Amino acid sequence: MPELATAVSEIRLRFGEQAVLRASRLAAIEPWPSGLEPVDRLSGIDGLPRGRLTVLSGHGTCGKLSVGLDLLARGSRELSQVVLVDPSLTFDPWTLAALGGDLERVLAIRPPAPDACGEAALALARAGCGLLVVLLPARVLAAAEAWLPSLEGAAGRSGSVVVAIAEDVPPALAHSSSFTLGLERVEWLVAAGEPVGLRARLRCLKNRVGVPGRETELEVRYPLNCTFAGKGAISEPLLRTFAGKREEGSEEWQARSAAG
Amino acid sequence: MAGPICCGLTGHLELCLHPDFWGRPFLVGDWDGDVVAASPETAEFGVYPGIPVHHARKLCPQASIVDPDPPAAARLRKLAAIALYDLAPVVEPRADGTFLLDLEGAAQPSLVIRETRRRLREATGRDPQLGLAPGPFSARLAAARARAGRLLRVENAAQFLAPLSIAELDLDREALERLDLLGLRTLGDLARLGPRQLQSQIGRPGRLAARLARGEEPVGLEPWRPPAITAVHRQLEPPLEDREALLFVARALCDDLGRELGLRGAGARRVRVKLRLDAQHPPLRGGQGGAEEARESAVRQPLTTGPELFGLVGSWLRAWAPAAPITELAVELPQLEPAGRRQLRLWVGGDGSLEEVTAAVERLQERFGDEVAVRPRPFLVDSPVAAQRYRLDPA
Repeated sequence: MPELATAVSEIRLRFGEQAVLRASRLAAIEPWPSGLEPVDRLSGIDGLPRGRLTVLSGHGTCGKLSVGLDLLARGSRELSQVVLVDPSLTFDPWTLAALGGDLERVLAIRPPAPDACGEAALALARAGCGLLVVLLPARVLAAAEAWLPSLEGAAGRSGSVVVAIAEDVPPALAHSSSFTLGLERVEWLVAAGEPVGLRARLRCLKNRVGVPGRETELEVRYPLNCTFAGKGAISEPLLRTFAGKREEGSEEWQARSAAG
Repeated sequence: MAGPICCGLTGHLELCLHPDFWGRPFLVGDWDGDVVAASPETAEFGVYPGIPVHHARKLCPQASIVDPDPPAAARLRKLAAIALYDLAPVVEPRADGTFLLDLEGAAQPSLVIRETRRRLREATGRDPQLGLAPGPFSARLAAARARAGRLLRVENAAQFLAPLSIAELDLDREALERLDLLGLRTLGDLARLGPRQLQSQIGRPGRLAARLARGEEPVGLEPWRPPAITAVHRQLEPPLEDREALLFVARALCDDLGRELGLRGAGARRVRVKLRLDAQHPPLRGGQGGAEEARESAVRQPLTTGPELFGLVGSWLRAWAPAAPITELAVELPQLEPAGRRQLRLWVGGDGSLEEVTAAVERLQERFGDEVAVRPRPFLVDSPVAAQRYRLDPA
């Protein structure tokens, strides 16, 4: 059908080669095993999807940034370049060092304006940085409708793993993501009268690459008693996750449910 | 001679420019000049390149006459040469539609020949005749005797050349007549004579002719060197005011350039974007208006792909406020260099795209300042205040 071929070639001319692809040319989704077991298991593909957008969301203090930094630290040990896009200028390198991250491979982007945040995220996702973590505070999220839909496409071209961290999930972000996890704080962990961490419920709100709806719990311990890099080993793992312990259907889960 | 040589014949490139006339008698040339190229259908009327056009008209009155377009033919030659450039170490494209490739060292010559056929067909629109022989002279003659889209392989050049006419040699008419009078009518006849004897009869060209006739192939290929600059442009009719449409066009142009860069293994160190503006239109923003606006920048990391180019060009266009609607968009790469890559650290994930990431970061820094990308460095490592133990330096 020459008309169809002409139409396809025109679309490719205007929108690029990737605009029209045969289904047989679509690659299967590859996982990046982050090593953070609850997250890997909830995705259904044993890792975060490469070339897709993953969203960590949750209101207030629920551990989403800790999980994001832990992913960043794990990524920095495996990948040549990991990038944090930090428009709110809140990145603390020592936290990442305490989590065992290789700071030589970590790059922080501090965009001066919300538009620049989108431009930076798109450029880096397109360039193929191994792991891109984008912090999306409300003021950036409000102006992100223009570039969020392109973010997953940009990541898809290079196979980057892109993780967005946001308090709310507005429609643009919800539509753009392939894997959305909602975190909810269950309780504070307190030792000697001081909060040392929290226990959070992790729920898969959306999953295009696996089965959605699963949930689990994880425990986040804040790096309080750490020594810093260059002065010896870190005394103990600072971010502990306990996967499987409280998964839905487990004995402990049933016991908790029965107890109300 | 290195050899073996593969030759692809597509017909004169001036003829390739006019697919509407294929299959009919037509010739290319100025009305008051000589015939530059003639279609095969005119040969039976005695028309050949070099004769005056008015004489050709008398010989073949039904032939259509088309003005020559040397720039378009040169563009087509460049396009075909670029398409063949990565197939063989030495490629020689000629304006008469002869493309010669030295297959010395090619791991899979048959694959190269197949690709040559495909790419020439794509570039010129015509199925090439292909010849494979120990040298360029015999390869060209072999190709001329092959059917369109087929290959004629010559193992023994001297044996293949022996029965062919001396008219195949690039000799002037007077020398050919002299050889004919001497009874030397085939290349085999010339081969039996020594170069010195032939030189004594028709001068210096005779020496070369004798060696060619013997299959010695004394003339090598002239390697085509890709130009150190490249550019693409698109005329916009009607003039564009819509930024999104302009970005779509820019993306397509960048994809074209990226394909060419990939084929040539080159990277762009300098990028220039030109917008030609509608001179008839009053200035949009109360400015002076003008025929052309341009922006140019050098990049630290060579840009090698379409998305990389569009990353830079698109960011310019998004912030550009042209004074009038745009009638033409041009993207030029005035400085190219080999896009050689370092050896990858194969045990580190994603190391292959490190250069692209670095280039993207540098472009962000060019746009927003060095402080936009920072890397944590140890600072006061003994400080009791955790936040002082590291500082963020520009990457």
